[in-house]
Amino acid sequence: MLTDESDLQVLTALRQGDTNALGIIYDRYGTAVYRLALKILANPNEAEDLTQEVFLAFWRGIDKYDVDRGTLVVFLLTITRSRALNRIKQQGSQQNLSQRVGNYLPRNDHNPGLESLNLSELRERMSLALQELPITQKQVLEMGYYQGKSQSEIAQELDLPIGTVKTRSRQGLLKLRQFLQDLVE
Amino acid sequence: MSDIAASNPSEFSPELLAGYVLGDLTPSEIALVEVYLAAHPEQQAEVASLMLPLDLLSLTLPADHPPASLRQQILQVAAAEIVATTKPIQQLEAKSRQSWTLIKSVVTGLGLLLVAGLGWNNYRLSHELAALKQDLQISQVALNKQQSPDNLAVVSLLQEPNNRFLTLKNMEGKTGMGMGSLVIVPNKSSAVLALQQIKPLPPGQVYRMWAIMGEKEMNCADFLPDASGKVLKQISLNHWEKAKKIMITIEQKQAKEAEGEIAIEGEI
Repeated sequence: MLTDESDLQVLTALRQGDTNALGIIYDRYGTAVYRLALKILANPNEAEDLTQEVFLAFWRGIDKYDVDRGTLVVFLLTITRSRALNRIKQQGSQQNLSQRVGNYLPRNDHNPGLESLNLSELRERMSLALQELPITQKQVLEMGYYQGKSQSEIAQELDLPIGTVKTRSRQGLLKLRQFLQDLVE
Repeated sequence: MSDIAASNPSEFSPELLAGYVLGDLTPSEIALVEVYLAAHPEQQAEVASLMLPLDLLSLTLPADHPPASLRQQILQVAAAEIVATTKPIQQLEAKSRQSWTLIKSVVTGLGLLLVAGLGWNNYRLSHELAALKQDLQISQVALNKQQSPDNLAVVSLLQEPNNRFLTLKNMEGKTGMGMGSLVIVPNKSSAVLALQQIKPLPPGQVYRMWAIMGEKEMNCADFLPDASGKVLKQISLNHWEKAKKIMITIEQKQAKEAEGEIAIEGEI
């Protein structure tokens, strides 16, 4: 059964024209894509629309998708965030962030640690990691990621010195990476 | 700058790399990091590793679920695009080259009509069209002038609610040996068969589609591919709407039973 196969094998079927494979990929990651779209766009209709756009764009460009560029879920979530932030027309600095980060997406990341976990296991790992993070660090990271806000905007909104915001978000990110170390090695 | 470039990676500030990923560096700090990365390209993996927590952050979001219909919507648009690139050969064989060009444009255009019909409103369509623009190369489609009644009938069928989609696969398990979709339109007691990469047959032979219902095989339709190996055919759903399996065999034209080799099959 294709539904029991790895992402790699489902992708192979999709490349061979099996549209059923697109349904399987949607079943695996559709909810994750929708949740991120909803979080950023804060509108169920727009989130639904973006989810459709992401999966169809992925399907149309399947021949161009390089499995070596990272795991499928990371790829889909990256597209989703980028398109969602584009939709809400973030400030230039944030668009630059997306572009620059895009240059450093996992390119040579055949990542056995990450690929060995399914989505619910990844979710659990990430939840545990976030629980370890001080709320102040989590807050600034989430504002930057979901709302595409610049550090100065976050500083203004939270009425904090910008240096504090930078320190919190950098330390938060480094801590998260430390908690997920086995997935990134 | 040269000091930075010569820095041992273990000495380079991880906070600076984190700031780079987060986009909170000053222009001069960005320059420092980029010089460092240019001198130590292996450190781009370090940057990527700092991106991963952000990439996975959204997995912890509350358990909102997309509407159940969204899956079907996505598959419908994908199937419609496959149909849109498939040409109705039985008609084309009887028509001139000019008609062929015309119909080719129409069939491409039908994909757009389908997307329009399947979307939830014009707002969705506007986004969809923007994404489709490059993929479908629609710039020269002149829909209003080139619609044929037969193709419009197919489009109309594909826009019906409650349609079911069946993926058909070749039996040889090889790429390029025939594949496609069968769209069952219960509301109109009809179905649309769209196949590609179908091999031509010797004279006297046809492809025959069978609906399998329990022990019985029902002859649904005969067809042949066009010169590019494609098939687009509307088929009456008469008496086989409850079939669980579809089979396409290669038969002699006059054969009554399913005796030939199975070329393609799919299960509903």
